[in-house]
Amino acid sequence: MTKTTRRLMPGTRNVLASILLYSWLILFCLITLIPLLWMVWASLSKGKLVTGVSLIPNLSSFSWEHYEYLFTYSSTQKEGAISDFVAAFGRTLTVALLNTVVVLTLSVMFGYAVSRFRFRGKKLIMYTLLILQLFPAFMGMVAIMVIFRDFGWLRNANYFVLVYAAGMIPLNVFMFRGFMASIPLSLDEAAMIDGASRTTTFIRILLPVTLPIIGFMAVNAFMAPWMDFMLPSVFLDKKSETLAVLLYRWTDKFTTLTYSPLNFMAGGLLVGIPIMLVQFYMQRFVVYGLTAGADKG
Amino acid sequence: MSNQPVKATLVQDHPKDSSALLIAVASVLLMGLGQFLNRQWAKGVLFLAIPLLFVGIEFGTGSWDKMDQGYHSDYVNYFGQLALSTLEDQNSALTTVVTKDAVLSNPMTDLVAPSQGGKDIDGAYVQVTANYEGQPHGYLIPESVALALVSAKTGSEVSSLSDAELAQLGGLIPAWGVPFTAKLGELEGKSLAMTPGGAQLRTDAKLEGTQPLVRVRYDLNLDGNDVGSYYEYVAATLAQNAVGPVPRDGEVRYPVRDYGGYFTRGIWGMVTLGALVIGNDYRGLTMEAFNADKPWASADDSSKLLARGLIASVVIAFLLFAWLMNILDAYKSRKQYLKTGTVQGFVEYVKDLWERSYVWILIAPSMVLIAFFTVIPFVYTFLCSFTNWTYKIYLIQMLVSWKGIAEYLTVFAEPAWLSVFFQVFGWTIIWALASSVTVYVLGFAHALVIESPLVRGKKLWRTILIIPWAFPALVSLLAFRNVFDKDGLMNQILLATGMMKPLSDLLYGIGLEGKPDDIIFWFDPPYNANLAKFVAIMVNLWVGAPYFMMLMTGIMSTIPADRYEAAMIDGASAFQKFRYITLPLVVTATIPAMVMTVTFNFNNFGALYFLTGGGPAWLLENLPDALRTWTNSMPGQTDILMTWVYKISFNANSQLYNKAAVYTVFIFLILGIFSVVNMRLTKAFDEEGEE
Repeated sequence: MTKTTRRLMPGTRNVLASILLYSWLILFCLITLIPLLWMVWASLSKGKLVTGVSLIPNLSSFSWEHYEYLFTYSSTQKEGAISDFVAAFGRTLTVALLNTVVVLTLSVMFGYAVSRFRFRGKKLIMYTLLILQLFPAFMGMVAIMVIFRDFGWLRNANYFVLVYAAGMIPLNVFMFRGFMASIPLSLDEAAMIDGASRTTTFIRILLPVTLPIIGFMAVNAFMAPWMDFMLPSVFLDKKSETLAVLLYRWTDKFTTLTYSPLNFMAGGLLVGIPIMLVQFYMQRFVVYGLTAGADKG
Repeated sequence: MSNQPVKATLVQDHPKDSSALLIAVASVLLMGLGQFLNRQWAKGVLFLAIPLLFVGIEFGTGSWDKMDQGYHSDYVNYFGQLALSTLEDQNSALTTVVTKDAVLSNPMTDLVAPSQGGKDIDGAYVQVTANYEGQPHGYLIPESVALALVSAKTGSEVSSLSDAELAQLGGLIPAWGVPFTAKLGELEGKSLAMTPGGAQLRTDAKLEGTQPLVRVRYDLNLDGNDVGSYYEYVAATLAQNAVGPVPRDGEVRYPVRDYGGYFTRGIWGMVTLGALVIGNDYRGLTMEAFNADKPWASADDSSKLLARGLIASVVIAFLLFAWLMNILDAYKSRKQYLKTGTVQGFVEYVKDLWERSYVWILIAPSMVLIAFFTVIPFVYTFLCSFTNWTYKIYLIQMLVSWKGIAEYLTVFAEPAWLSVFFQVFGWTIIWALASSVTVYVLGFAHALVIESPLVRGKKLWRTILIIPWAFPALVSLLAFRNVFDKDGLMNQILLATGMMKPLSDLLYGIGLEGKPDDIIFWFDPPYNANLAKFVAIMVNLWVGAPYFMMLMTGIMSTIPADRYEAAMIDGASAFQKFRYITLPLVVTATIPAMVMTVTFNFNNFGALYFLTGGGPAWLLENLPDALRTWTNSMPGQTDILMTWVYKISFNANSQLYNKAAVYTVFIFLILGIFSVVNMRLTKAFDEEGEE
């Protein structure tokens, strides 16, 4: 463990500590960046396999072919068909947006109810949520499969939103409630005295104040469909799959027909970089949510 | 219940004290009745509406009203005509094909002519007689006789036509996988008697505009030689609404199954897991995959029945709850009346109801979602663990059945399964702890380094170090799978720097590698399991440390500076400041997050499935002999419980749903322990205690 000191007196101790600190930072920044840079370089190399993609870029094998592939290759083989990658991207984006809307609406409604009202059964509900938040939704995946099949919902990723939302609401409710606890009750009371209804009070007065935590919940809800592999891998086919499955298949050696790691590198970057930018942009919310979550469990 | 009763209905006579109990009993018998007796009309109607809705759904989705109609048929039938003249075959002398109207000629049932009030029956009665006279050595091969409905225009069998061809012929109405051909089984004397189950040509298909043919196919044996197949055609006539009594095989053995609505049928299905499977005969029809017109002729699918039964149970539970509320309400209203002489008026009731239900309206959508997609699936999984549902049970063709705790005994009492389980569970525990602790420590170290006053450009360092958090884990894990490929980045770096041999020897020396290979195979050979596990923890460190770094820098920035200043004045060393100020504050603040992380890692599907895919495989000698046949269900050496459950459930030829369910229940119990710990740690309920 590196020791820090606030005494800013000049001395060998500080110099030594600085050297240690900076070498630590440089080392870990390299470890962080090298795999990603290698990904970038691999995505710009000719060929199919990672063999021969070295750490130091080799300009003679430079090629855009994998990016071209992403935007042109369509397994339907039809003229003018949207490429597999773009289609999967579109589907995933749709689910992600839908999920954000559904999760936010429901979590905020629920969170408002449990943070500002007293009612019978509240404690039971909160305990149930506390237990449920630990159980990933796919623990009942076989059942979800049967229900989806019965309702004719297979082969369509949009219905996953129901499962995602059911899984994300409990934790969101806790975080929202924790946040609301820090907002003085006098704020709502003032509005109510002015004659605003409960709904108006919430939308006009409380919602703007809770934006940080809503932002955090939005990031999580938006990310879930991009990361989820299990539901799409079982419920979807090639015509309806989301990006996670497509990317996985490109790196899976056992499906020799579709194994193409360099296409994966290109695709992974095209997915990863926008998401990374979104995450950076939403970072202040996230830091907020993390510390709030740490406070409240 | 409002505490402010208002004057409402005029009540004439004052009932005795026991009336409250009687009124409660009235509400027990019929929801809303007690309220009516209390003269709370509107409330009574509201309560009465609930069971009515329930009964409405039951009858709307079922067909109880059709029960007395017995074996009812809306079918359109073709009956072969007595038209021997159309026989095209040279061997007509040898056989006689007689197809008769089922109503008039079927010897199997005592049919009553339509004019005499018989009931509907469908099916044709066909008789094929072999005429052996004068053909001493010839006979008809009984197993070969088959009937088919044939298009007169094209001569092709209706069942073999494509949708487009059928459309050209005028369309087929409606055909849900109806068997168009029936084989004959028995030869009785010189004639083939066709039993109603075997040789009836029964179809709900209709070729518009053309008269189809009934084709009789049979193989002949003459003088000891099979001389081949022969076809005879008879014109089929359309016979609608043939009427007969309920045939013997039309008996309704499962009334709830055949006529029940969503609730009764749901409960029936959950208890029995189904009765009839595809191909079976029931009430004179062959079970089909799906028959829209006669739902009872559709085969039972145990998995669906269980799901629907669970959904029905949840709704019934809601009904029971409303029923209890109704009894309680009737009783309380009466008590209130006895006390004050008034009952709550409707307007007040609705106001009160709205007041109270506001929160429930906010909560309800989420509760429904959670009930349907978290709770019901889990209960389903739990129930599954008591069944024999595996890939060997082809649903629709077979039924799942309840087996009690048999599967638990297999999984936890059979030494072979237990040994595999212990290996996986042991690694799951190690993984959950090691991956969380490493991530916590490194995240803390990063936070300390970045927050150190000696470091400049904090923002830059911080931004670089949180890239792995911002970058989607799915992509980075899959990328790491390539980094640790045989030809991947890692081996290239090692080769380029000449570190390959020394590192391989070192890894072998400390037991991570099973053999000192020239090229390190990170995830592949069974002897490198330890290496794969180690790498998995390291990669998880790359992915997960930034999260804790963010969390901890956030917490450290909230520590008031005057604490450090006070410590400095007291002459505390840097280490002392860390030990007595930073460490305790950060640790207490991050304990809940740590519990969450351990829980998360316990189930961290992605970190292992994407990176190693669970590999490397087991060494065969580590796999118990008894399980060699289950290779598709066996875990790899880096599989944790969760990835194993996924593989057991969804790998081809593995689908051991019941075993997966047993392990899931086990995971559930473990997570239950985590959640108890979490509940103890969390402060979320402190304020709840006051209520």
